[in-house]
Amino acid sequence: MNGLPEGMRGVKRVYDEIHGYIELTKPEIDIVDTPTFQRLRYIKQLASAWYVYPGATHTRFSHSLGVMHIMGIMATKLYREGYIYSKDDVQLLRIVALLHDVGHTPFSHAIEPYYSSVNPPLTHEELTKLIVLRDPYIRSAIEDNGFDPWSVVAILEGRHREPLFNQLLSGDLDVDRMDYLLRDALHTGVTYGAIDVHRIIATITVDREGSLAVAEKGLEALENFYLARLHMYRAVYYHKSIVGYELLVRIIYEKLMESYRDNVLASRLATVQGVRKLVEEGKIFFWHDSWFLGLMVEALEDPSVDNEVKELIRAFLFRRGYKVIVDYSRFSDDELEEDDEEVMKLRILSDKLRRYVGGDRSNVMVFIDDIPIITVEEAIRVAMDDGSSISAYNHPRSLIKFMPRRFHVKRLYVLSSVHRKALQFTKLMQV
Amino acid sequence: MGRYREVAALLRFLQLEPESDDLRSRLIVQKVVYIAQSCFGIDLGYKFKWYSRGPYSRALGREFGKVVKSLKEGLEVTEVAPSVVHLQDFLRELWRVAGRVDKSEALEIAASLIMLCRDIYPPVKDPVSELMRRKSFLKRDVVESIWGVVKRFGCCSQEGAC
Repeated sequence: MNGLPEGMRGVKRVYDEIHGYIELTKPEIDIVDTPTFQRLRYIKQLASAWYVYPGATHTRFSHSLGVMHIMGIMATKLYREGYIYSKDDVQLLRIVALLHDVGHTPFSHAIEPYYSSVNPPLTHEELTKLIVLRDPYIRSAIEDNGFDPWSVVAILEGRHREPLFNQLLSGDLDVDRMDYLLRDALHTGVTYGAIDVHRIIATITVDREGSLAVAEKGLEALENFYLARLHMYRAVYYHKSIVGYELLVRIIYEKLMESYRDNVLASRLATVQGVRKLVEEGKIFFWHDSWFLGLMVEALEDPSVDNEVKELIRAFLFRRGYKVIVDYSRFSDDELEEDDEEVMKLRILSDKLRRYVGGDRSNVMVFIDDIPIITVEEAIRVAMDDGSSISAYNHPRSLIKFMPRRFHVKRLYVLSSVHRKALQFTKLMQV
Repeated sequence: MGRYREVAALLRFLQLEPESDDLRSRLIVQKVVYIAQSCFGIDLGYKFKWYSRGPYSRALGREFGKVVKSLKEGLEVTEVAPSVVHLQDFLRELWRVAGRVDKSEALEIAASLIMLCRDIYPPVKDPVSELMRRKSFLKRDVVESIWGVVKRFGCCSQEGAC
């Protein structure tokens, strides 16, 4: 399966550790060869997860190629079966898949909140849209090959006229998830995160409402997909130490952006407006993990940088980051309440602990998140023999309804430098 | 007030409270909130995508339980904005023209037509035909009647109904 319909030809092949040879067409090569896209070679897919899983050094670049490849296979199958009407649409979908992560910040989700929590916010999705429409390299690569950047954006935003296109990129069983579960499982070694992507693709179809569905014979592969997701959330994406290092990177980035103006590029990246201008000038190619690591080293040697910030940088570079001191994380079927008893308890405890250990506020951090694993109406549908379909959640032989719907993460972290003192405190408090 | 409480208040006023945690109830909540936001300027801050069953907000889907809980806790609605009353008029008209069609289906048709005429790219010239092309099992006269309501309330102009 090369992910291209008959009559469409790749002009280059790249070897990928997951999918084998990936064919690239001319429009795709033109996009990949831009400085803006090459940036993704320097952004790791799992941010600083390599501190826990040393093999997790794979990048957004290889993931983007993988997503494009899976999109090509799925779209070609649906084209042959008459659900996608033209080869140009298959090419458009492959371009969208290739570009879906082009707006990720360095260290991915760790740094994104710096920009998404301000007003007006800039999320990685919005940054991707901005790059497609305004980055001179990417926009030209799309337009010069006869494609409309607004159509790319419409699929990225989930408002393309063909709902199937939106679902392929962003649904419960989308091409993004299929690639990252496989890739992240391989590179972390978390084998129970692996999925049977070939079985899923072989059994995928479209129901009479126009929704993606899996034939009943693919039910086991579908269950495994949901189970793999659940395992990966717990073992990788919300692993206690990985989350700790993401918190640390976030705090260092915030502090450097707020105070460190000696570096020309850093000063331009301090605001959303600055990022927008850099995109329009075609100059975000340097904005990646390696740049930020360099900035941290530079700051460490700069006498004008606060000692507290330097301590945080050392904690990151020498792997002396946050440690969990209290962990109430668990699976649940309900949404996490704002007044959840354990969350309140953690917040009170963190205030007391901050006073006890002293120093910078960032010595003690609370991390709370409510991660949806299964949402009833989003669950993929199972196509029945009579042409109807049923939600995989309600299928009588499905395991899916017995899985927990959410994962609540409720943790109290302290920096390694105050860990011992914090332990004494928790013993005193009998936590 | 959390936005899910605003959703709960809206549903209570409109007497569209979810009966249970099933697909139909969830669908009603999704479509009412989409229509409220896009057509009546009631900004609840949800982003919607276009799927085969019309507009859908992932964030709203994930807050459904909180909406239900707020309603169970006895949320009181004493005063509403004129735009909410206007939305109520729209729904009354919708139920009237939809006849015996289930409320969830009528809402799905209305929300889909509004999204097709306002938010979809490439733009759609004839939302009724576009919807019928995708859902040939729908009755054309019902879709056209609902389209009439959507147009009468100004839901397809960029300014919305307010």
